[in-house]
Amino acid sequence: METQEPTNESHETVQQTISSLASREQQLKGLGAAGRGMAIGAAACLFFLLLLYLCEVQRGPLTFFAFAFPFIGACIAVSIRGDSAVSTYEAAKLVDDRLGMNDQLASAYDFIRSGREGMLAGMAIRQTAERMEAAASADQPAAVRAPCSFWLSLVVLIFCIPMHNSLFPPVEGTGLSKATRRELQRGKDSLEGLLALEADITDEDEKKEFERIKKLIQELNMMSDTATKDEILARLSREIADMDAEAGKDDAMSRALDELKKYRERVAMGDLMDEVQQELDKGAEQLTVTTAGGQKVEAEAIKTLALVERKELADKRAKQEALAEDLKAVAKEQREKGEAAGDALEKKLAKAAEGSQTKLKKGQLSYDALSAAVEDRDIRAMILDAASDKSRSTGAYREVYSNYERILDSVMFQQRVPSGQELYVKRYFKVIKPK
Amino acid sequence: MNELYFLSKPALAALALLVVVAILYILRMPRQKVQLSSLAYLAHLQKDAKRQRRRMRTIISMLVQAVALSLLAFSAARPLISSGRLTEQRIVLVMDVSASMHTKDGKDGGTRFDEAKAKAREIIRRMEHGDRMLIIAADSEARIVQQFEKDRRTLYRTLDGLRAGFQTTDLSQAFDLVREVIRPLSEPQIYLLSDGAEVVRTLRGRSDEFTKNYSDILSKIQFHAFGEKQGNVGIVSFSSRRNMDSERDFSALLVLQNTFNEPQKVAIRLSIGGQKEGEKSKPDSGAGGTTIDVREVTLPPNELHTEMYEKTLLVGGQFTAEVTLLDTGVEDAFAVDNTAYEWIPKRERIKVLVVAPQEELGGYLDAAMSANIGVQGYRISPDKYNKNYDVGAMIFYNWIPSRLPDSHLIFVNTSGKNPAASITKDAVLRPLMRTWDRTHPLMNYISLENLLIAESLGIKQTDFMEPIARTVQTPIILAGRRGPQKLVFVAFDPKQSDFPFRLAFPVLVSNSLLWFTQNEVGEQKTQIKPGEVVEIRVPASKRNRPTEIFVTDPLKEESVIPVIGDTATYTQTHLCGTYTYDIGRQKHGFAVNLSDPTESRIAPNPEFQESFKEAQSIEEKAPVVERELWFVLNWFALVLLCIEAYVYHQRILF
Repeated sequence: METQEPTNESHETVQQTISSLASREQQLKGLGAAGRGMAIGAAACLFFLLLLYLCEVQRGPLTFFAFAFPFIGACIAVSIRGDSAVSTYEAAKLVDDRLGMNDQLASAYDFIRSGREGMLAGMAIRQTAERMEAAASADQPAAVRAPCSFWLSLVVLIFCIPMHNSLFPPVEGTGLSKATRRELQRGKDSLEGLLALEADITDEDEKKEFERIKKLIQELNMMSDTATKDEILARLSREIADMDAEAGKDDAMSRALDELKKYRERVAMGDLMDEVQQELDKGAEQLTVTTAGGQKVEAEAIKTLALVERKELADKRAKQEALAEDLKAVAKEQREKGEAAGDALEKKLAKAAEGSQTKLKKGQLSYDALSAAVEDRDIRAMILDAASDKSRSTGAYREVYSNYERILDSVMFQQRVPSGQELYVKRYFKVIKPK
Repeated sequence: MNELYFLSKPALAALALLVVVAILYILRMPRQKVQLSSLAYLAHLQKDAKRQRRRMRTIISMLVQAVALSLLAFSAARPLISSGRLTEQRIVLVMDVSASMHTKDGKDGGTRFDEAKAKAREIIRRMEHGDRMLIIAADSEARIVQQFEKDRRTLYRTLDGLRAGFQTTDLSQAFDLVREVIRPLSEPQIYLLSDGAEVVRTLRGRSDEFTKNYSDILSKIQFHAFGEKQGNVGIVSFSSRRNMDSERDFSALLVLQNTFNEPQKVAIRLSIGGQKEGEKSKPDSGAGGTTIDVREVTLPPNELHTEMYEKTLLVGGQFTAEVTLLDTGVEDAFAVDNTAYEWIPKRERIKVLVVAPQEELGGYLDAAMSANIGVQGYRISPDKYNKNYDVGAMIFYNWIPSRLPDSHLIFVNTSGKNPAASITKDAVLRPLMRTWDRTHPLMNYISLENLLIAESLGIKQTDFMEPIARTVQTPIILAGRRGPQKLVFVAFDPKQSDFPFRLAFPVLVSNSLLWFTQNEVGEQKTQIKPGEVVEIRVPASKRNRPTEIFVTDPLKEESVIPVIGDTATYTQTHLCGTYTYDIGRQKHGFAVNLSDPTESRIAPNPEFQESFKEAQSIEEKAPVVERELWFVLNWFALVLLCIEAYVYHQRILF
């Protein structure tokens, strides 16, 4: 008599099939939920974009955020619906349906679950195993595929991209070139440094003017995303003309105004400087001569100092910022202590200036004060030593250089040296700066 | 009512040929002899009927041919059906083609010149048969563009070819020409089509004189005026010059005119480097290149306003000034003077060779070279020296060769024999500054006050050198020229002074090089008026002087002009804008601008109109409709002859 008990092998086969079916069913449920979530999200995306358009919202992060809706929808749907596990009974029922076994296997597993497993359950499992074996090649379960709702929402999402661009056209860029932006930022740093130096002014009107300049340069930097170069220059010209028209300016104010004018020039000339730099970057032509013996002798080209230092820009800006901070600190310290800091030559200069009843103030130094100082033999020797110091790295060189550079600034300010010449002289001093 | 005229009546004499036709038909045709064996056949012939038919056929044929001949004779006489009269009036049309005719205040947004052309077409349409018209185009000069011509199509073609130019107007020239043209004519019709705006200049201040001079002409001219608007904002002068003391710094002067009766706020934009051919526009570039300044200015009514600019221009090229009305409610109908151009010469980087002992290289002179973007510096030590280096200038520092080059030279502390100075003492200790020549180009922006010098050479200048800086003990800076060569001598070592730390040192080096490169005969003119002739000098110093030069006009069209001697003459300067040409590797150019306050005053002057004969309304007279019939008659004659030939020879009727 044929035994009705299921063999272990057939039981395992059925069990494996049921497990894989349960897993597949769970994946399908998850994907279905995600697809539905995405579809709802895509619809919400469409609706949200239209709503933003009606509210006259400009293209920006908010409009781009709409594109996240389908993914958010999918995540929410999966988290709500997609994680419910498929039970063994449900999986067995699916097998029954597929093999046409009229719920025999489901019933068998229900008996097993309720502890009433017997011959009938064994038979059902064995029959299932046999049928599964017979149908193994012909009835492979279909691969897990994304539901239609997923593809539909993807189409909607793709449609949303051109719709977004037409509803929220990209805002026309101001077209500010890199050079103009760079000079705007540089000028801001430089002006802020100067204004920090003049932090000790007490006159209320001047304070107001300084505040106005500060505000102006901040606004101009903020405008760089929306305004054109012409608009920025026009604004600067207006402000400068207004400030120029106001009478009664002292040195500090004149210098600030002068700096503002230079700022305007720098912004205006940024592009030209880049153009010249491109020319300079091409390098020097070879300069050769053929000697009587037929030998070619080449002269060494002197490298022209870069007009625009792109690579050093970040470092320079950081240094400028640090310097501005230092200057602020020094100015504060000097105000508190009332001391004149300085070195030997500077002390001499200060003394000479006192002797000539001239207040030693930035912008008022001249070669006159220097001539009194160089009467001192040591100072004279120090200057001559510095001049002949090829290494440019000694303390004496640094001291002489820094003092002459200060004098230079004030002389150029007083003599109204044309800006082209000033640029050249400043570049020269940059080349001979202490190492 | 239409009437029939014969334009060539003598041709009717051809009708006499009808007699010839008649004679030809009257003459009997020779009878043909036929031999017959019997006359019995003839008894059966119906003699009378045949003869009658034959006679009829001959008569009809003769009549048809007579009619055809008459038609041809009439055709040769050129019959004309016309609604006008058959006159031989001479008409002189003076068309104003000056710049102000560009003003857009015509109907449908057209210019004054468009309206003038339309009026001229009306005049041509109303010309009687036999009338002939001469067309004169007038601006700063007057020229006949069409001799007396009666063919309307030719006149229309000439009119279509006319364009308003960019020149100012001097109508006196046109009137002189008209006077000469009409001298042999009796009662010519003269039309002047102009806006009557800029001719104010012709009248201003000498109105009586003008009226007296041209009284004979003015009373004959029918003046048709165009234009109404009088407000205009424009640039009436734009010029720039390089600062003598700085190669990179320019001063620009802009004069604006506001002819509105109210103050007008305008934006003035300066830009440099117009868009190059095939180049994509830069983000900051307008039509005229890179913006370098924008100002907003309020112009007072009916006045000139001047704006000054001090600019550092690192590059050369087209320098453009544009003015724009900021009040959007006000229209500037005359756009020609809203933009003005200037050409900024682009300097070649001068090559400078520093010759110094090996241990001295890389010092302050190198720094001065390195800082100057207008200079390409080179350095060599004395062992590599050769006088044939192709450079603009050489600097000898602490060393001097026995053989000097032909280029410009700077000697710095060279104690050897040199052409600039003779050394009297090897060392002058602590020389004290006494004076310097502030007027010399080398000394611009230089102050040598309290210059600290440890020691200098004791020198005496040669004949062609002049001391431009002196200490109490000795001159220390000399400058001079020997033929085309310029020389500078510095009698001390900068290292033995505080000179390198002063503004004076780099500026002296820069000034010397600028002085070397300054053109003795002056720079090429960069600003001219429309229509002016430009003489382009091709420098004698250039190797391989070109035999021709290619000039590119503002429309980017190129024309070739030959170089004769050291000059090329260019005459096609009718357009406003910049014209460019290359000599060697360097680009040159010049700008053409209207720049005329009077021409920019676009308001028509009613007083001017009063000086003329009262203009008759052209529209009152109906356009002349006429038709010549010779063509039709010829066709009729041909058709008749064809019918006659067919009918006669085919014996269809008879």
